[in-house]
Amino acid sequence: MIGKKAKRMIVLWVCCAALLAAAIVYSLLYNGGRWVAPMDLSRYVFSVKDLPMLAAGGCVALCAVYTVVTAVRAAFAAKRRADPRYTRTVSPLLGWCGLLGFLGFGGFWTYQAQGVIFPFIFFVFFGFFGLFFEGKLSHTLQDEMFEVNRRRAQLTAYKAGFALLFAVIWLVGMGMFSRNVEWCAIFMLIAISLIYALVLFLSNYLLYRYEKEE
Amino acid sequence: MGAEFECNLKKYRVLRGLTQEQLAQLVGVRRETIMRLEKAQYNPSLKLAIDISRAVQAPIEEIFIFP
Repeated sequence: MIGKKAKRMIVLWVCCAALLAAAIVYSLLYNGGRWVAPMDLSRYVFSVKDLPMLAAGGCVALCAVYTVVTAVRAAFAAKRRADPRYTRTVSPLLGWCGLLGFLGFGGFWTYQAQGVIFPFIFFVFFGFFGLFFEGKLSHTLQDEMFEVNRRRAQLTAYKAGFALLFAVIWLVGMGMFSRNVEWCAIFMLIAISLIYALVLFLSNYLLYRYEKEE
Repeated sequence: MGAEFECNLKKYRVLRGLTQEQLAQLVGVRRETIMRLEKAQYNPSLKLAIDISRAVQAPIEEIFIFP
């Protein structure tokens, strides 16, 4: 069923690409390259010769909408099919996404260059390292011992997170960076992002430790 | 974790001729859970204790002995 849908989608996109290529060739040969070369749309006047390019563009847009709708429906169908008694199936390789956390260090550069502190949020991605351990527990029956261990792991992770959050709040409250509000904001953003990542990671890591008795 | 207790599950399971895997399937848990129960490392819920007691056909208070 999924294979058939994928085949149909590939055929549709190949047809769309062929249609678009034909329309581009027609436009270049007979319409002076309108809708191919950059044009000023504020002074645009409709011409019948534009129709092939407009039709091809419409087809590509419809194809894109159809692809998105099909992908969303397939995702929901897969979720419905999944057995709730088992943990979700995740590849441990997704844990490498945790390396995206290093993008957070880009925040120091963007702050220096443009005064933007948003990239510090990327430190949150360090939490993805937990997927190494979630992946190892993929498709495990969630019996009562698993649930007990999960609750225990989450509680320990939250406790560690709250303890660190308290330390951060205490440091800021006691006047750390009191002469510079911007530094205070940066420190808070980095600290909160890292604490969030730590809680995400610890929840999965501790659950793995408790399950495997390591 | 939880109260310390003594567990005679292995004795009754073997008496019934069940493997850990078979007992796990009968009561709807993993083999690891049965393994930890037999080592008295996991304190089961009342429902699981009753299910196990019915599966091995032995009184619950003889399988799980709390001081």
